[in-house]
Amino acid sequence: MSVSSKEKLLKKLAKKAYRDAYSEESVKTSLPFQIKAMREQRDWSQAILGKKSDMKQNAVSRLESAEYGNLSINTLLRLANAFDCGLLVKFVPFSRLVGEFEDVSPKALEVESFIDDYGSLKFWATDSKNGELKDAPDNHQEYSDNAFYYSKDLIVDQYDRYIVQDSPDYAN
Amino acid sequence: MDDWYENELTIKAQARLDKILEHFRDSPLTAWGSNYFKQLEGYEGIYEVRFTVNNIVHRPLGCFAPFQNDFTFLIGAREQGDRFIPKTAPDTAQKRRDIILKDFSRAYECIF
Repeated sequence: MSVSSKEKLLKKLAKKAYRDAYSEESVKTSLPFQIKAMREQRDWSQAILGKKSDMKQNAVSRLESAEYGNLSINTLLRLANAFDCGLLVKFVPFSRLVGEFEDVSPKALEVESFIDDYGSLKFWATDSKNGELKDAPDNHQEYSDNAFYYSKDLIVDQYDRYIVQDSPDYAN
Repeated sequence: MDDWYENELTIKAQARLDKILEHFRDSPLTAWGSNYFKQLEGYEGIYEVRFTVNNIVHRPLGCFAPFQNDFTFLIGAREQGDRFIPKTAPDTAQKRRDIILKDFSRAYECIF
């Protein structure tokens, strides 16, 4: 986003009516673009996303268009569950809002699933004083970078340790 | 186009168009299609950005010019009863495209 574009947007945002509309369209227009980007990131058809979120294909098609305009939080939560990612709904100042839309390329709109994001989560969760996570029990495979290529079920065991179990059905 | 944007579009429609263009700006041309963008049938090189706000179907027309990755709006228009308003919008767009292709200086970069 160029400096000129930012300056022009700032002038528009000075009007309360435009601010209100911008805020509304940041949800109604931008979320459908993100739903489409995330679906395509996973190489899913609308029908597959519909199946995973218990919706019909044409419902997914409507959700990918701002013309529909009825995105309920419950629907978004169903999509978040299907994509296996979080949904963040919170009030923010406009300076934060515009920052979120500086890059809205399909790549920038992609969101990793929990499994793919696990490395970042592990980094976040690791106590810097204690270093690496503890060993897992023998009957489980400890998490490693390769584990997620064939294993889906990530659990926390009774010792509060992050482990994965072999799961042949990760192809889903 | 500036007049159309300022005087024909409601504030909400302006914000909708701004958001759509924001996504187009950051996306490859191949990703523009489907919901909001398509070629206008029967008119060579004319495309429409189509969006609906408060039951008004806006259909501004444009073309890829002066260069392949530049999209130039040629005329602002909307739809009423399956007809363009103004009625001559597609023909006007076609004429303006021809003018721009002959003289690139007739298009100017807009900031949105």
